[in-house]
Amino acid sequence: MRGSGFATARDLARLYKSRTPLLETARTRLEQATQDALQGVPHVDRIVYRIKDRRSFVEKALDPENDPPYQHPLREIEDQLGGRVIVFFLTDLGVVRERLKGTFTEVEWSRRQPDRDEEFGYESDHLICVLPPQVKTDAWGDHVDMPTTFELQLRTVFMHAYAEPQHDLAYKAAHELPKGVRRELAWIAASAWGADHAYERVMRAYRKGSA
Amino acid sequence: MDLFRVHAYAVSPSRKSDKPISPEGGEVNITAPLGRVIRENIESARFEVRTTVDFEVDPATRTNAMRDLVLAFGFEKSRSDPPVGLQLAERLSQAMDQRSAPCLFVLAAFRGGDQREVYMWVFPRDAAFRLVRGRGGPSIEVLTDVFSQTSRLRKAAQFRGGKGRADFLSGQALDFQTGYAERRVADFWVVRFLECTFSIRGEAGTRMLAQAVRAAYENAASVEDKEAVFTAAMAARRTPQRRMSLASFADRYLADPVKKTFLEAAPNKAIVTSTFDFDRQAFEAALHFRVFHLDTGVFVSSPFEEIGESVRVTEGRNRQLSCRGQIIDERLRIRHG
Repeated sequence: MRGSGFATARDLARLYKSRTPLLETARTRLEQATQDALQGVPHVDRIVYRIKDRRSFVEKALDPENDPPYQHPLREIEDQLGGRVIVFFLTDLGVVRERLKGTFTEVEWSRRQPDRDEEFGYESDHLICVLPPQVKTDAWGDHVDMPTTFELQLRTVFMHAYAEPQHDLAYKAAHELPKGVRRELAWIAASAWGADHAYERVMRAYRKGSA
Repeated sequence: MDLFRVHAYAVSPSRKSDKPISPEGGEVNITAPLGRVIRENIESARFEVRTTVDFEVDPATRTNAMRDLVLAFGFEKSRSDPPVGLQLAERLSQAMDQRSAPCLFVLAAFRGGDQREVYMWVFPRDAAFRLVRGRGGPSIEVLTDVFSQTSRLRKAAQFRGGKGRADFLSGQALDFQTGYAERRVADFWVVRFLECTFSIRGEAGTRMLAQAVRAAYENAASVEDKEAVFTAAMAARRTPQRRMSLASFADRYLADPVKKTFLEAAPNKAIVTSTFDFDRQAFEAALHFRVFHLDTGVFVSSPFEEIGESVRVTEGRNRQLSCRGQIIDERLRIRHG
């Protein structure tokens, strides 16, 4: 059994790398399981899974702002395996979540949205699920401190249209974004929010008309 | 790992009872023989091949009362009032209905660094004989306050990990009655007492079963073997069983060499014996057509239920297929599929 004891960022990166093949198999199987679970569900734009990048894993594990700090980051960091399901409409989010319960055990669900009603920003449903036994290979048991959970984000196309470029810009920015840029981003978020809700109204009217 | 805490309680059923009977017992001194018996029971339980279960956690708060108690039993330093062991015994009593026999409930916790292992057993009451040699000759004493360590009615569970948010979410459960037709019996240990669900969810497990059937069918070396797999798939569609595992399916419906191919298709060895809820709809959706390739280059894709009806296969040295039906659609394709 390999332990998770690490002294430096380099040790941690090395340990993380040694598990990458196992995580990669689990990623492929999770993606397939999600596709199977959502077979026939309308309005699913795409399903993607990724393994957390090694550098970003180490940064997150050793971030001095972690309170309390991670004791076993290889097990505790829950987005080492992360998936995203992108759907057309807001009402599809609940449908997808319900369908996934036939495949994954959910342990946490939260709707990420701005705290204040008058704010616009990042929105997404975040799920934490237990890694099901069928995504693991026999070698999974050779390591201690393997992750037990994975993260799954459920978003509409418009939520995603705001979140991804915004995340990319914010990630690349060395300092806090200037006021003008933040105002522009808030405007984009508000437009995405408005588009999602407009689509809901359109869908309702369409259903009424076609009934 | 160091065994540091053992509790034992005599538990009587009190589900839906107006007068619940309080379990009797408490913390037990860990003697060398007791420690040995506990380790032997862990070994004989073979948790590594038992059904994986997940606590049914409230996704809004990420809590489950049983998980909290199991964690407390493994991690609490001081004695709580009432003791965590007693709280668990009371929950067990409330999960047992009047048709259940009184049992011995044993809890054990091991520690190693910041990791813990918590085990729970239910040993059913048994009757045993003791040969007594007295002055008046030998006599037989009937012991009624003994509990069986080997009964098929015994239950066990194992939960391991640290104290983090991602720990103690899953465990292994030993229960030979999960496949029982009567729901009251089948759900007692995992669902009602442990407040868990099978880690292999119904739809996912059923799809996994269908994939293994497909693999066994495609890799079958002879027509007879293919027919055996097909018959097994047909039988599964009609089975009244609510729960199964890949191993129980294989034991019931398959024989070597297809049984071996079927089991080798499992994603890993440990889950072969893991139970899941069989979802007939998911099975039919995943495995609904049988495709025949004829020597003329013709492919016939038939729903299972039409085989033997409008699609007939005549067995013999050269197997022949005949198919009859009204054409309601036709298409041009580059290739079959």
